[in-house]
Amino acid sequence: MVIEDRRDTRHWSGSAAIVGVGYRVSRETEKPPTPLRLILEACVDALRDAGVEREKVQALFATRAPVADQHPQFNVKIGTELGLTTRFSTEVTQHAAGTIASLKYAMLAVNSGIVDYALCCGGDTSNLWIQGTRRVGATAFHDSDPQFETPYGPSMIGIYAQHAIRYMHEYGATEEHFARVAVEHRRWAVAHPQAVMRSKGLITVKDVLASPMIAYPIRLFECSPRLPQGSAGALLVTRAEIAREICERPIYILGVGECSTNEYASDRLSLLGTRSFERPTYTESGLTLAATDAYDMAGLGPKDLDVVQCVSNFSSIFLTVIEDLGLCARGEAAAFVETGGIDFESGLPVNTNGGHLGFGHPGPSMNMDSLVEGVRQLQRRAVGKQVEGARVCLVHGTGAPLLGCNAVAILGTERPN
Amino acid sequence: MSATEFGGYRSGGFVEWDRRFVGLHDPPGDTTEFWDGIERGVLMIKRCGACGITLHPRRLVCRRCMSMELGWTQASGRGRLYSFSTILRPPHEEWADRVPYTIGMVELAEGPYLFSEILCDTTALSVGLELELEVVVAPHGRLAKFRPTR
Repeated sequence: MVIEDRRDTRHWSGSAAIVGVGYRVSRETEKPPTPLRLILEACVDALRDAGVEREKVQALFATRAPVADQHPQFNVKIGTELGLTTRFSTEVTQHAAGTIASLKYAMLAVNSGIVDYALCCGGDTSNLWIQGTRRVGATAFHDSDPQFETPYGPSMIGIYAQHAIRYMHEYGATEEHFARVAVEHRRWAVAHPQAVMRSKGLITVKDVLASPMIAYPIRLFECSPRLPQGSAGALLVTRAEIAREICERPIYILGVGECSTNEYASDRLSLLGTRSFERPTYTESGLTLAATDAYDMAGLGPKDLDVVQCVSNFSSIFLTVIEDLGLCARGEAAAFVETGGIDFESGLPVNTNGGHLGFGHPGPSMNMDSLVEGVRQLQRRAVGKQVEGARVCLVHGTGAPLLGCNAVAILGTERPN
Repeated sequence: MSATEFGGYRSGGFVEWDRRFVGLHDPPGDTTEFWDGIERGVLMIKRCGACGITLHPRRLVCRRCMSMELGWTQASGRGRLYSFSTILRPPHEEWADRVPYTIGMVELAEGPYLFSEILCDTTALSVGLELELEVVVAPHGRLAKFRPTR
């Protein structure tokens, strides 16, 4: 990939911080909540956590409308219920990647002089959107092209499986490598009280390879479960000067980047001729560009990361994710995983809530789950295994099939000099 | 039903299943030539009137020169398998009695990539497999599928 037009954005690094967090996970034992209710609970919690009255919150950045609700301009619906009089409000949607990208919008907003506080929020409930999917008769739902893909019966898994085939073809990775990714994620999940796969216990590579094939070469244990039945999060962001005054432990936004390249899988392979992609490919994505922007703003590189929360909705795509993030060289993710690169005890702490494979994937709010986990680790408020001495965490969110949309945030406990 | 009749666009909320999948949530006005081609048993793709490159039938702007003067051209119907997956658990009951079936991305001889179903014994599947078009009458209309070159 050609990376050009790199800019000096260092002055933004640490200019804003997260000063309040709210987070709700809905368990299957509860009556299923609506996504709106879940999001509102998270928002109220975030304002209480920060000790900031709602009158001060003038910016609202909501992630895309929940799949389970589909009401357009969901940001207005949220703001209305919260009783906000927003002066700067929008949905941030690069599909679900907007969850992470909203931190960038918040950072720019609170440093613009227009507002002091920005609330970033989003959530979804899987039980309701699965019902909706069945009604439509769609397959991969919003994520397959209604004319050129849906008629052939693709499942979301079948679309990601095509990446897996290419990854094996191009880099010689094996089904054992994919299985190992699932094994390590499960170990983090077992250590996390909110992870849905915790109760299923530890698994081995052999267990994964023995689980039923869903869409060759992806097996059941290599797919993220459509649980918990709902989750929502909210983060209150303000500029660094205010954050230092009102918050004991602000989490600074050190770097942010986003990149969207395609709506559907077919579109990804139409990128031929665009400058960054000299050849169409499934095994490299715009995440490379998003990560480069975030690292450049932060003045940091992959070696500086203490914790990483990234996309793992299927075990195979995880390999391209960690390559795009620069955690290992291109084509070497399988070897990286095989030699203990993401080992629960000794590797880089990646997806400390179990990731999408282990924590679950309650719809587009899976990126919010990653974001809240990253913030909790830095606040030393982890509810699972706390990574000792974690000072810098990278969070990656995606949306659209095969990493079509990506956003990256690098968060830290200290403001750069 | 002619290809141009299908899939009236209805905005907002969930749309009940229509007579066929194509057109769901999606105004088909820009792609009627493709679907009319399928009715005739041929594969129509886009060609840039300014620079001449061929493009996916969905494209409205040339990926090379940004021209919007895109016309239609008949493709050979030949291509190679870029990637594939065999579906064993169907995404919806509509496909329940069809598993296992294989979906894949076909690199057309003319350049563009087309998502399709690959009509093939699963043991014969491999990246690079030579393919040719086969128009199949499906429950909801004709579809462009591919099978190994005979």
